[in-house]
Amino acid sequence: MIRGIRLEGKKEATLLVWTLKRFDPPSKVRLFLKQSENSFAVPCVAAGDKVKAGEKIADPSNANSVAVHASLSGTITAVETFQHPVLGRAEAIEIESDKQDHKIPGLGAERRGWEQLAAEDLRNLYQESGLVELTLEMTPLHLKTEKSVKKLVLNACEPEPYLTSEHALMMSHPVEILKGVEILRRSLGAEEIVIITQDNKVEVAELLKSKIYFLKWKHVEVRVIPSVYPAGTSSMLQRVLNAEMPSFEIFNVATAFAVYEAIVLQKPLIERAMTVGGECLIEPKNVWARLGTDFEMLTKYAKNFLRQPGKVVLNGPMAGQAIESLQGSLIPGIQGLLALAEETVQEGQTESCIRSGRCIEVCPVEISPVMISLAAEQNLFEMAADYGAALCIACGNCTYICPSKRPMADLIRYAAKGPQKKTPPVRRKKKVLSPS
Amino acid sequence: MKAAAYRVSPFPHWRAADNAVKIFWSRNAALVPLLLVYAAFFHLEALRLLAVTLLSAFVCETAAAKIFKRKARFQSGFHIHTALLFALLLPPSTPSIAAAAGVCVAILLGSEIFGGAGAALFVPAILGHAFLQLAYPDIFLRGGVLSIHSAFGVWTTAGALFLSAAILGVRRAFYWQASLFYFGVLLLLEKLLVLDHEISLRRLFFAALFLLTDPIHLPLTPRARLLFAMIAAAATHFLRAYSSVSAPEIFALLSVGLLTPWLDQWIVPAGAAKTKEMTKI
Repeated sequence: MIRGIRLEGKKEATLLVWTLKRFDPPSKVRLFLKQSENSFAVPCVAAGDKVKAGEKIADPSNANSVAVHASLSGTITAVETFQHPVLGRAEAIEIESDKQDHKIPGLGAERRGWEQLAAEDLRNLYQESGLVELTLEMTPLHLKTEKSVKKLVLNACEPEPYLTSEHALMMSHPVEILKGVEILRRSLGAEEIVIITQDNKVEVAELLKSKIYFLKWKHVEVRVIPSVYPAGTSSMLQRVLNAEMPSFEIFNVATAFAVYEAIVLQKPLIERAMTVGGECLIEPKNVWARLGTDFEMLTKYAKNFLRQPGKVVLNGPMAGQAIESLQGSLIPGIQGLLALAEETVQEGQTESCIRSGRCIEVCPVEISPVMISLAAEQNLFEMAADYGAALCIACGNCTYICPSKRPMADLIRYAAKGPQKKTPPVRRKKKVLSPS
Repeated sequence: MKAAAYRVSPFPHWRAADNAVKIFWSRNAALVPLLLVYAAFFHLEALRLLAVTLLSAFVCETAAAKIFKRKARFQSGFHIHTALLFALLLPPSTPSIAAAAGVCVAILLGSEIFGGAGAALFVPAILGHAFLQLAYPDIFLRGGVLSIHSAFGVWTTAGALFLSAAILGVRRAFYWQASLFYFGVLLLLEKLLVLDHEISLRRLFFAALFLLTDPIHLPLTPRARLLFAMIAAAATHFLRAYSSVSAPEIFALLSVGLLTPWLDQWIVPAGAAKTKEMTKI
């Protein structure tokens, strides 16, 4: 049994309809060339060039990177550095829309003989189609599918509150997702597919099971696990399945769908399904968003702010990243843009630890967050290491549950890094309790 | 266009609604049924004692704030909890000066000197009570709210205790498994090793609910907490059987509380235990 917290899902607002709304293309997009720390693409267009949606605008720089494609038709207006939502400032290609939304020929048409493509051909197509894993790590898919494994795991859990785009995607395109997973299985040489979902998505599990039954696939198994956080995160699944499976690779639903589109429909990675949600937006919803769309435009898809948000968060309130402004633009790894109300994100006043032990009860990797954080406050790194600082998977459960509102996850991260010149994240300022 | 600046901080971006202040106030709320019984049976004497303990707690908190140069936060509920627990453990006839002295020992020596809530070594009310037991043993010749002998009194107090337990449970303000283990092991020992003197179930139940489960002296891991409860039960039984102290549960919890740092070091969660083993290798 995985230890964790049954979080309030807050998924209802975006699940009123299981459709992903598609809007007119934005007036401009900024497509980043840097894909991760070690991979980037090299532009093959220059300012002033005219491009169509789906056209390649940057080649992979080496075997570790993927191509980049124009997500709308228009004119290249700049190839320069812009604000990247994760990596600080990074080089990007800016395209201004011509309002025509012309697409390259063949985009959307079924590729002939896609069922017969060999694993090597599939990997080449992944690289050419700009496919990366649609998580913040954005690992190029051709690299992730290099090593053959016994099982492929499709993570259909979506454990973060508010996020429902994968739920909507599964309900509206179940067969496409299954075909995408099957393509991934072939490129990995895996024998079986295990689809893991949570008990708050029973309808998804039932729908997938019925499609699998009628597809007559005997090599696919659907498992339903309890919806405790962080049971459905990839890092936690990795830990749990390690004990059970000899070799496996985990992919998420959005990646499987992108694979289907790239291989079957010849559509490179130019858009993704995402949740634009949070209680501060007028109409939170799941949308198809073109890559490179700026965050301000994304909030307009949800009819803008109902009121000023306390925080704007990318990818969920538990392990997501807060952003300072709406100046960034969408990259493939962003699944959600959440405008959260001040009362939702209130952190409360940090107090002394009252030894409630709740952090230990909810820690999924069974370390001692309280002892590690107390040691970190005193710069006792060896002691922190003894209590398992290095095992932390940064799920945020300890900080969430702490009644003293201590920045446990921060302190554990500080402790895990080991001795350095920096001071601990927060030192105890007050030794008394407050009625906050 | 000037972009709006939003607050940026590390994850997680939302927190559980429960906090330390709510926990202490929930524990205070759980004491209300007993306080009502106390006031109903002992009238003005009980109210006087409650006023003295609360006022003393307020004075001690203010003095500690001055001495340790920090802001007094009486409304946090922590010292109010100490004062209320303390009053309920005393006979209503306790002289005001003795009650005030006990609260001062409890709060200043039991808590503030170590750094306040969360940093104390002993549960303040237990330390204060032990101090009075040793300094003014005559006070305890009369019983308090937990020692009312009339049939109506017994049932009323027992009812109030069950109500308290319900409040604590609903508000998740105590570690019920520890209470259960303490009370269960204690009753088992009493049953196995039949003692000739009378057992005060209400006192022991009160100790199991409020004194044992005070997070200050409970170890951190669930396993250590259960072990702690069992040791505390055995110690209580031992003191009941082989000593003449009038409040064995108080002295048992006071002494077993000293084991907590060792229990925290020895009994760690599974992940941390593996890391410790690896470090040794």
